[in-house]
Amino acid sequence: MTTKPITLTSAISEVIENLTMMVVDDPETCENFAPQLRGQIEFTGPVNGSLGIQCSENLAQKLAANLLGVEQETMETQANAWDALAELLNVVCGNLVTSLYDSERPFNLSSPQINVIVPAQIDDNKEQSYSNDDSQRAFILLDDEPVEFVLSVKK
Amino acid sequence: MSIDILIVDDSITIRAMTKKALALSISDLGQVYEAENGILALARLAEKKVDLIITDLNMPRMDGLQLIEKIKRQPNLADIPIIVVSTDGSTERLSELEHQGIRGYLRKPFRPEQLKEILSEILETTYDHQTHNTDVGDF
Repeated sequence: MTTKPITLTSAISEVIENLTMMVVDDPETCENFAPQLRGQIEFTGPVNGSLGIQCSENLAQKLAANLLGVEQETMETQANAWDALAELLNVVCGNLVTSLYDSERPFNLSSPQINVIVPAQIDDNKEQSYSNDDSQRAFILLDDEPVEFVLSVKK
Repeated sequence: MSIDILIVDDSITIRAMTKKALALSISDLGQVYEAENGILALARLAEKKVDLIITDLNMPRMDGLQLIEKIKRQPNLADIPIIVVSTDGSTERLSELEHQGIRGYLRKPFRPEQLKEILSEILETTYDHQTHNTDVGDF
């Protein structure tokens, strides 16, 4: 019997499918991806690093509506959407570091930070994200909307 | 008897999800209080003792481990059953929590039926209280 290796994408997809009732798919292409929100969480412990997320504001609202069990149109504030995105990042990161690096020793996670991406900063963000050779990227489609995760490990 | 519960989590989303799962799980749910960190939880407990505490670990200002430690040091609060809900599932952390005397642990993401199962065990053994017999699989 062979065991399927844990990849960044498979680990992320599994956590999201367990947390939400949303469909996770592999995108055919990542072209024309124009995220509006960016989130980041730091982890320290057996391995130190950070996990970033980029997605649309609409996806954050869908996510919040899904987790709260309400219609997206009835979402009251932007704060709910940002909180849901922050919690998604927290849950994904907590599960990811345990499954990828160390399941015995605990990791400490920072509070996730969510920010709006100013259009002019998108190229800068990409350069920052991809400049670290140890960064791994994972693109998924969540409810048909693209989401990018960037996992960076400090040496 | 009705069961009063305190949910401690810095995420309003998780507090809302947990509150919903509680309503579906406990037949005679009393007041559900919320606090976004350990400091606010202790302030709430100073005003009103509850029958059960559900807490996250990773929170700003005062985290869940510090909160549990302070609760266990106060004779009037030490006997309140505590369930930890966290992303941290490391064996070292679980062992630490067990040593601190927590009654239940759920790793995020969790399903409502998993919370119900833990609640059933704790409430029946502590308060001889029955949970709902309904399916809580869907919110």
